[in-house]
Amino acid sequence: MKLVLPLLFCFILLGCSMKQMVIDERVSFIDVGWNSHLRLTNVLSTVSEDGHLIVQVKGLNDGSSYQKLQYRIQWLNKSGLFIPTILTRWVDFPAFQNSPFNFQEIAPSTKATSFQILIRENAL
Amino acid sequence: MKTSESNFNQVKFGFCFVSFIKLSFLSLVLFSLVGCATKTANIDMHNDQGQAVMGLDYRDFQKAAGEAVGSMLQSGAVNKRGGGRYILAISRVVNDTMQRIDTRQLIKKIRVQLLQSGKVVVTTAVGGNGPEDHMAMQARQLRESDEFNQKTVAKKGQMIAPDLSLSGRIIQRVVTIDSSTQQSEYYFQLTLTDINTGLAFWEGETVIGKRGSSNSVAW
Repeated sequence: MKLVLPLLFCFILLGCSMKQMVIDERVSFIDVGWNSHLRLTNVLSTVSEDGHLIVQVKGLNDGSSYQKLQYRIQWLNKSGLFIPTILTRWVDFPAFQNSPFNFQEIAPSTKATSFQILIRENAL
Repeated sequence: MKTSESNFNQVKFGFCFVSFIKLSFLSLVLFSLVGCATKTANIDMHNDQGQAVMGLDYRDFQKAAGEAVGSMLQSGAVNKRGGGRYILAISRVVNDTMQRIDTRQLIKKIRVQLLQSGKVVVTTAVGGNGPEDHMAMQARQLRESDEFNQKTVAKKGQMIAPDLSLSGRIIQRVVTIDSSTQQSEYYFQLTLTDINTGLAFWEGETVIGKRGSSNSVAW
């Protein structure tokens, strides 16, 4: 009983300190170290009235410094083939310290049914 | 006799030595010049980590065009009621910067993407600066020619008038921060007008700001 109580207390503390985090194979962080403060919290995709896929990605920068990030989306058709588009490019977005970040993109055509997103720190 | 021979050898050796030094020096200069020259390399368009420039480069056009298309698609302005595709005419896009810019660079990216979206078809028969392709009208002059099979000549009333018009302006503003730093702001402003009503269905603006040395001139 003497051991159980401290262990239980530790588990509760650990549970409170853990950030909400999701793993989505469609979104990858690249060029970020093991001690990165970037967390993915939500990936939402929906289809608009006119049939365009809309993607919204939410994350969290739980570090104490501002980070300039970039994302790149590749759109895929129902066969899994990439759709070439000028919308596939590195796009800058901010991740303020100890704050959530998010971005939204719309598919270039109604043929897009899936996507792959890369996120990285902006080296420039 | 021996003395004169040794003198001759000494002179010969001295001459060779001087030539060798001269040649070595020249080679060294040439090598250093070649080493200093900037090597030419192809730009990796998918991951260009090159330094930003005070003027506008292809990355800025990509950004402006990408944002415009994304915003147009998200706004629903190019969704035709009852389905089908809008016919878009390219009106005037004015370059109001100090740089020599062919605004077709920006417009081409936008129209290619809009065409791929399946929502819009661009007409090349009419435009703000006249028709982009004069052949559509010129080919109609063949109606008077006996040399052409008249069944293959474009008929009257076949061309489709545009529903929408895309116009815009690229503006540059230069702000001096201090004696050595200046800021160039570029505004890409685009408007999509419904030709029937004259109402702007969509408007978008992308701002690109650059701060750098006053010595680097932005044109």
